[in-house]
Amino acid sequence: MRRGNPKRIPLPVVFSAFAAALCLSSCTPGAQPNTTVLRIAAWGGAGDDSDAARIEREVYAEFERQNPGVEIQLENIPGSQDYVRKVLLSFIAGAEPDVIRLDASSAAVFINNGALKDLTPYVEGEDGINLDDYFENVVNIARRDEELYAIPVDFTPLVVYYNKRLFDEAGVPYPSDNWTWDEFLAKAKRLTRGEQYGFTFTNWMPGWLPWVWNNEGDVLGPDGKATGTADSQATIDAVSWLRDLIAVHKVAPSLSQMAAEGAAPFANATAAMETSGHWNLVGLASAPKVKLDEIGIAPLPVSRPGRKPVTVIYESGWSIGRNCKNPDLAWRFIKYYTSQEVQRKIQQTGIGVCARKDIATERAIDAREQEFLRIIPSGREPWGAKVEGYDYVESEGQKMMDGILKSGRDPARSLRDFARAVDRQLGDR
Amino acid sequence: MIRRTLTWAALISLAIFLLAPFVWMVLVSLHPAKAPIPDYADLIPKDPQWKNYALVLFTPEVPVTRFLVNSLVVTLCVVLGQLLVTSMAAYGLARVRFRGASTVFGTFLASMMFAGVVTQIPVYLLMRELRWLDTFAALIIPGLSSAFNVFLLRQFMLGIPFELDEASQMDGATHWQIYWRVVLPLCKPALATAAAFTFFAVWTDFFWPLLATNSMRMRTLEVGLSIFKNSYGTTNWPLQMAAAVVTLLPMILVFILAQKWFVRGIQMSGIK
Repeated sequence: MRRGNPKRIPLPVVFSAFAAALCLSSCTPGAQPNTTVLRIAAWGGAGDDSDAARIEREVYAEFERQNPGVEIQLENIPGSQDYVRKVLLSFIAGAEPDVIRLDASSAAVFINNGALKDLTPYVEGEDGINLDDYFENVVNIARRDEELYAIPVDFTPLVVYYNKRLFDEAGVPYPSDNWTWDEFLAKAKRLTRGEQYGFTFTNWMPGWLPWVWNNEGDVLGPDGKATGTADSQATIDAVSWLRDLIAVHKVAPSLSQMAAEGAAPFANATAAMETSGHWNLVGLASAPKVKLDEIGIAPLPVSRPGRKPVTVIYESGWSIGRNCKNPDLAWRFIKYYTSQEVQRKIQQTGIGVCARKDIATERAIDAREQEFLRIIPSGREPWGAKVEGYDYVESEGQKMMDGILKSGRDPARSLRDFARAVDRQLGDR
Repeated sequence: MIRRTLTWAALISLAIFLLAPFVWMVLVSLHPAKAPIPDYADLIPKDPQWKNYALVLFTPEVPVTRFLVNSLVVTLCVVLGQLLVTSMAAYGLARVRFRGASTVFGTFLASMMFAGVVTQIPVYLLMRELRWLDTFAALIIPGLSSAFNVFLLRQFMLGIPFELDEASQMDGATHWQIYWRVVLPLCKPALATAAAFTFFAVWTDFFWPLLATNSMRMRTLEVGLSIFKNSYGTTNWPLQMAAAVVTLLPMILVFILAQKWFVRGIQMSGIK
């Protein structure tokens, strides 16, 4: 039987080699003695572009320099749902990071379950900060009565982006600050010509719900129930109107057309308007077919004249885990990161609007930043900041919109079924 | 002749169909970083940005070589370890007669009925108790067993003539010797199939490595390179696609090298 290679290796050798490999591999270089490790969970952001990454790295390195003996362990986690799942599980297991980047759209699950520390004592303490430096409606996203669970870093309202060049070419006047749905539709119709569309519509619920708000409809009522609100006439009318943009007026590409092309019509200048947030500017700055100077920003239009425009604010900020072992150090980090000096560096990346009024104003030498500043007061928090399990509502909402747009389902019936499903799901919690 | 032409035409169109997404991926990866996904008409970049690959591979903030080493270590350990562990279990279930063998085998099969996510939280808690989070142990050890491979190998081993065992026993061979010197060498095709499946599963696994590791230096390629999304969920498509190409290449390489084993393994287990 002494033929062939594998047969010659005695079994115990294989075992011990394997065991040794495992032992070796499970050893990790531990932290150096006398250093305190501060674990910080953030999104993958650091890797998405080299300028932003360089700035972030310098900011963290500077904190380590200012605090000898402190080592920052940055834990970058990709995605939004994956981020929530991972951080939540680490809380359940008691293995959570010290400082957590909290996103408004999923803040409720952490705040409502008592995972986070109330930061009020630190804000008001000796080493505190002045909350008047921040936009009030942005700070309030992570507030529960007197308690505050996050210090905001940056945020964005959802706005209407429009391409001034395409408007000029079609001879269409730019949107005004209190434009209506009728005006929007008239413009969109005139901008739809040849290969070009007036608007691009997304089934992504965070992108269309604020339109519903502008018709005084919504998905959840003050009682937290969807029935009575998501199936109200105002919501049905708004959803039907949005559907008609594609189905009747054909001023926006259909969903299947969008999926087939897989492209971004607004960024490729084949659509004149879209709903998006501040992050959009980062991509548009590199888009070959649009120039940043040709981009205009307007509030979402209202359904009837005289109504006040309203939009959603997506925000992210820093929180401290309830059982954090070094809360003072964690606070020192948050205070450092949200300081004027550091924010001036960080916000160069241009992903959001700075939650500090001073920096946001400084940056508003740019015309588009000014537009954002004007829209901010009309922003309200996303449902996910208050309602746990709201991700379910968003995924169901998207499916519902798909059904209406792709299969031609009736909005009233779809919304009624949707409301029931939401109440059943949220009622279980 | 016509049949041949038709066959070729069908195969070529199928190949184009299957290759199109890959070509799209490569083309998008050559557009300037942060640029939007281009329309079809502009898919071919005017000024190919090969430096995107340099950005992905050599940015100091994203230690891709470390990710690659991690992925290789984890995949190699899991594949080899799993072959060893599952083939031993399969041997026991296929060749050793003991009371309750069918119950044990049934339990293995039953465990396949659970979706993987169900066990993820208990396994995570266990890893935490053992203080293995953020170490190679957490990435490797939970992956060492696979009910599917036990099943696959057991079925294969049942097809090997029992006379071989008996003859070996006559010669005084122990179970260990029969397992290692007689049965295992005859299982090569099944082992190759199992290895290929495990390799692809481990290499592309995303959620478990994401849960089990925290620091950059413990990330595998799949997790490490998926961070080209920024905080608000927008994606730097060209860099993300470059990263996807980088992640895919080793897999394609392994597939080309192991193709023979892969195909033969499936054929053999199909015949048996």
